[in-house]
Amino acid sequence: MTEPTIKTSRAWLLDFGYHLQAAVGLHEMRQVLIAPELFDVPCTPAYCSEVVLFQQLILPIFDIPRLLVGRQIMTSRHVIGIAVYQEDPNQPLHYGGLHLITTPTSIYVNDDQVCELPAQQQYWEPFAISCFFHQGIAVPIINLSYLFSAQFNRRQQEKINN
Amino acid sequence: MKTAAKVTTPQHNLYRYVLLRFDERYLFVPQADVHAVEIIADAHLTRTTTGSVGWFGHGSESPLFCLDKALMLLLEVPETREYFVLFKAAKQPIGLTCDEVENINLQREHLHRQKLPTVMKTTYSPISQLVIYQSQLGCVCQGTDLVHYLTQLSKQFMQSRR
Repeated sequence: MTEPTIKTSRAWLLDFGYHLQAAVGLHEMRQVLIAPELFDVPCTPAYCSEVVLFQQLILPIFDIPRLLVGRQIMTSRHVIGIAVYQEDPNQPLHYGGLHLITTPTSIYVNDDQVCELPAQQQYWEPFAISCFFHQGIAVPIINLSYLFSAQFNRRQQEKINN
Repeated sequence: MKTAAKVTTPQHNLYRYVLLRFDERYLFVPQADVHAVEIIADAHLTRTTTGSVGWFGHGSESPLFCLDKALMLLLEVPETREYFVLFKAAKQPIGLTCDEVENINLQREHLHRQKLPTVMKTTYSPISQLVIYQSQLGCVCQGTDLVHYLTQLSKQFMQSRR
């Protein structure tokens, strides 16, 4: 009898500070910008109020701690991960920035690391595709296309307006 | 009464914009949405109950508003504000003060506007597009959206005083 093969995938481990860590697929992180110039945009949500210029594109930058725990990411230098996502396979690629406290770490993830999203981390639930156990903590995998979507924005605006 | 610069739009040109600068904020508004540009010395500056910083004109006065970098109401006019731009509105034009104002042809300047990223949209924002101009971020607003935004700010100001 052959043993079931365990699938291994590569991913980027992202550290947002405040003990908030998450992962994205290897091909979902295009580049990391160290201390780029950021521009603030007025009348925007607190969790996404800055943009960065990347290859002639003006990209929104998501501040995950601001969204999840209401605290602004604190770092002496800006580290911006340029994430790439597709709304569906027939759509063009889109880019978006993520505020990080350090450069992403490349990791290997096995199928047998899959776990449930812990009760105390349920704030990830709306945009976590799944979750895996890594070095003693549960790490959610972010659904980037949802995070940057109109649907997500609508939900957040409804919460704020109600 | 001196007129700093009358903006005329004999032909509607999609690329002709008026750039207002204040507090390091760059606002681009279509020239077709602008009634006139005037110098601040011609305004009647006074505290009002509507959040405006004064009036312009005789008979049907136009309210003048002053915003800071975050596009929030300022009740005192900073000394750097030398002009105000009157935007076309249903009843009477509505004014916004600025430090500097100039006409910009986006096409001639090779400026490429990009839509405000979906994730940055809010129900109250007057900003529809972003553009990089002279290494700064410019916010593109339609005149009607800016007038609506100023009107809403004024309503909120009056409600907060009750």
